[in-house]
Amino acid sequence: MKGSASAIIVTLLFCVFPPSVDAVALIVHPDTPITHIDRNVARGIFSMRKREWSDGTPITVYVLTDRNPIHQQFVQGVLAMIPHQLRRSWDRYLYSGIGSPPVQVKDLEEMLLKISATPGAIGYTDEDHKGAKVRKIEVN
Amino acid sequence: MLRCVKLKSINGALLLTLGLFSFEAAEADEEQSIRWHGFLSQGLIATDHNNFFGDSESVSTELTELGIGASWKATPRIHLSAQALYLKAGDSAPDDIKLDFGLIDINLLNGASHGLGVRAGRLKNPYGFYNETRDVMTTRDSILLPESIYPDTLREIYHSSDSIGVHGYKEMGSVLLQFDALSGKALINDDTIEDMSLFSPGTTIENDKLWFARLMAEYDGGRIRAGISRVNLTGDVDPGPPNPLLPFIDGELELDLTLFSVEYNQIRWQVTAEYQLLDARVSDFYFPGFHSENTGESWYIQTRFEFLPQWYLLARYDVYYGNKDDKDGKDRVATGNPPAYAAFAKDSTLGLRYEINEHWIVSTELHHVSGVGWLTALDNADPTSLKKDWNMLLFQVGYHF
Repeated sequence: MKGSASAIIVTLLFCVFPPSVDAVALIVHPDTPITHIDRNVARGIFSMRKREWSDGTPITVYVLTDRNPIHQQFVQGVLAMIPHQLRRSWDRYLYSGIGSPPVQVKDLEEMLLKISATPGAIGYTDEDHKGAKVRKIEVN
Repeated sequence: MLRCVKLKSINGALLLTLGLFSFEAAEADEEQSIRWHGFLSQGLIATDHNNFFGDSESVSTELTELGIGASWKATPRIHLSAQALYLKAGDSAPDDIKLDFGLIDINLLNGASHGLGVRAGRLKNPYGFYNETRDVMTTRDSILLPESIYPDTLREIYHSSDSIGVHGYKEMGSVLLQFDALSGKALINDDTIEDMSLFSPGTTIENDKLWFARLMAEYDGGRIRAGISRVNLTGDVDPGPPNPLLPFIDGELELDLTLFSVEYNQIRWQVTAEYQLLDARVSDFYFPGFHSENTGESWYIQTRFEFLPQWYLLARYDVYYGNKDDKDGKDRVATGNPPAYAAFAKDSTLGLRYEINEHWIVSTELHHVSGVGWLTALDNADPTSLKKDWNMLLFQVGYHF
């Protein structure tokens, strides 16, 4: 009985909070001077606090729309943040004039295109990057 | 450029200046070019007794928020931005378009785990969780912010100031500290002074100085947030032309506000609470050597729950005391200033919000209020006719980009 009850609970949990299946990875322009990134640093970049790489190259952040499942997976799984908290800090920048939110792209294709073309760019993808000139970065 | 042309007719030299820059930036990457944003919302307010935002006893539409702004990253470290705002909130906001912010922000330090910058111009005042973006529906969790701490009647003072400021952050593992401070001149209009109800009509406040400071700590990417905000405002109070019936003299006013903020966040729900003390001191004015000091106390606790995707329920209890040593208003009545229930306001709120898509929101809210502490004489010409217990129903639709 105990076993089947916990099986039901686990099943329920999986239904309510589906685990991420595809691995969403953080990607950068290939010339970016990093090989791995600390999670807190990644949070600082996607929260738009951190504006430059260590060599002084300005950081350009690309994201999908808030409700895109890949965006949700990236924010919750990779950054371990709550999506509405990230949105709140972007809104504060935008509507009080103290900064800019990330650049929003319409799909992954545009994401890869922008990141491969923009030195200092950062974003994410959930699939093989099909030879696009971007580099996957480990978040730890 | 079409947008620029439209904007020119709405407002201001600053926006025009930003618009002209866009020629130069047209070919650059989007991070370097002008970025536009805007928001619009319209509300409906109905009350069974007492007026809030216009004549709400017979359904008021006097809640309109319209803003349009632009920002430009001139260099990776220099950022310019401006926003024009039209606000209609009963009679407590002047019915015109004004420059809400217009500023230059210079990033001075960009370390591995810290940053520091300065800004100057017309700046949004950093205060608590909501103040800087209080006119943008999407950034509020409710139609009305807790009136005890974010009073709409004093919106002018709270909004923005002509200031210089510093801001910075420091990361220590999972803890983030953020600091904002500014010092400058408040934006005070005559209605605001009248609404302070301390002074007679015609009174002006001059040589005013203010500073705001806020320290906010975040743990684990914003899961827990806690902060403290401080405000100080001083000014000379001038009673205006001599009046034999109200023979007041020049005096001084000082306001001191302290606000504690705390929030716990989960993916689908959050709990937020804030507690404020407001010290008001008046010297002279009524007669030489006059001195009065009063401390107001306010707090609220609120929870929000996303019960279905994009559907939110909100519950809040919000308490205001104009004088923490006279919570029931007995002293108020004893000194000939009835009614007693103007000494407080206890507002129980239930709200429902649906975020239709990334641009549109609709929301409705029901308030049951005991007390009239934060109602204004600007909407209620005869304060003696105010009822102690009253209800308010609001509806609002908003768009933003």
